[in-house]
Amino acid sequence: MIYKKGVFWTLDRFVGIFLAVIAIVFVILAGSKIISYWTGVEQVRNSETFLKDLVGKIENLEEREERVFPLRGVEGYILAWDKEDANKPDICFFDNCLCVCPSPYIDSCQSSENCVLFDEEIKVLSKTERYISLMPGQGFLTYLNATTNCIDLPDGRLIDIYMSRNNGVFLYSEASSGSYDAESDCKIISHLGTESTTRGY
Amino acid sequence: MKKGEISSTTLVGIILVIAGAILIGVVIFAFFENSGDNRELCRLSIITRATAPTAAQSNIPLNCVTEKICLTTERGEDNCFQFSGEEINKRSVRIPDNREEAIQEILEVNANALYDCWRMTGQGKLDIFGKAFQTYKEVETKCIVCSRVALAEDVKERFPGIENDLDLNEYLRTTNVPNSDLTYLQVFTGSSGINTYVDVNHKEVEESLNQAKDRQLEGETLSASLIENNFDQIAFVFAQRKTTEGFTKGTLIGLRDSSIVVVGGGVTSGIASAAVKVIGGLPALVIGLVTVGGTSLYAGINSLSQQMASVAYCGEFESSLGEGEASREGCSVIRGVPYNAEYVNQLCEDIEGDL
Repeated sequence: MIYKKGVFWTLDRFVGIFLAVIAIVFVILAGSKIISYWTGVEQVRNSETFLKDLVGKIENLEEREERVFPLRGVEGYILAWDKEDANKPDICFFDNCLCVCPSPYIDSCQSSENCVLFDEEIKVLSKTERYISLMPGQGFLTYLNATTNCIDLPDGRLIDIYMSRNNGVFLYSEASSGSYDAESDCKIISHLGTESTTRGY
Repeated sequence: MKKGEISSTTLVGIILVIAGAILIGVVIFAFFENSGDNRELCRLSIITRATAPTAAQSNIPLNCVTEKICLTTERGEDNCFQFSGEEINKRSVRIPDNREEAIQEILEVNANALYDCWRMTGQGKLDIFGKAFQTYKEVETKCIVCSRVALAEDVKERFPGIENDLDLNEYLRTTNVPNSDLTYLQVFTGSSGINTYVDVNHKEVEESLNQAKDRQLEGETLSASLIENNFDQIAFVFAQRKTTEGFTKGTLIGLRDSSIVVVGGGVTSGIASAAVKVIGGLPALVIGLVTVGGTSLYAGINSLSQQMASVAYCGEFESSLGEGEASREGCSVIRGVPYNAEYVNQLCEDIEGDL
């Protein structure tokens, strides 16, 4: 390869640089794809994003307004605590708070990404048909038709959530059925039907 | 200059190359980020995934953000309560004050949404969900919600009952795709160029509807309130279902989960017949098969309260195949469904992308 003295942009060099630019752009794009995989696109399905959407809808709700919004569920539960509650996530301090927790236990919900504080009272209810353990450790699950103070979210599927605001916010859904421990923080508020069957597990 | 030492010209060259690369990268990103062309980004990610090796498919994210289109008669960007609290990829379409013109505008928006979804997802012929299908269940229907079209309340106030005047199937049959000599229906049916409706076996349709209602009474599938649901938000959904166990068997596995509809009339080929059973994810919605041409078909859907359409492709997917790998078959469907849990969840077992 012969370069004339003082001439930088020879054809070979130009082609080389051009190809190098393309290669580097490709690397940058590929890198960004990987980064977006880990930081961006996957995050849309996490509880933080779900909570943001949920709170966005609540904040746009006017007094005495009621709506049903379909939202895509994540693996987790919607729970709410009143400021008077003694047992609630530390992150809630002395406020009312709404949380999307990985499991129906306070312990799983101690991160600020999981909870949003509210000035007004917020109630969460779901009508649910599920198997629960009334006697933990006894090896039996009981079929229950009840109202609970949490919403069990279906991961990757839509869930219709009824929202209303009337001197406080009320969230309600007919949650998907599932099995969980009766000692969780998702408490049974009222029995709508009798415990019809019992099965071992 | 010592051997192995970098000359100043080489150093300048390297710096220029890096600077150029960064500049081009920034320009490309700025273009995509600011152009708002999320459809193009989604399409690129779909192609990337579809052409990736099978084992890598499920690790390639789909950059698909659902487009939210608000149909309104008023000015402003936030007239649809359906999108309250949602900021990403949202736009308003102002519809005319005249009822007839408003109907045409609404139909045009819906037709384009269906068409865009069909194009964006490779006309249903790409294998988008690769290995992910086998992660949770033997056969799973996975979805992308391409767009959500909502009617603002001001539209329903100004034009009461307008949703009952929306004949999307007829619009697709008679209206040309923008910048094309072909109607939507002709484009969807491909080379067959079919532009007519096949006779519908109404008896079977009625039976199908009755079965759906029976199940509803048993509390199994649909609730009365949802069957009577009026159109205020439609999602244009791409759904894909496939299996490694063979096409026909695959179309029959797990159908109860996503529901079946059997539509008669003109379905002759075995593959098409099986496809028809698969495309009807929502029994109460489907009453008419429109055309069947080979393995590409188009179905017209008419719910109790609205007309909606779906485009389906059944057969071998076009994608890169690993060595010794058998071609993969299945069905893709692009259709409009009322955007609520009862309906969408019957079609989709898992939704990807950003809603």
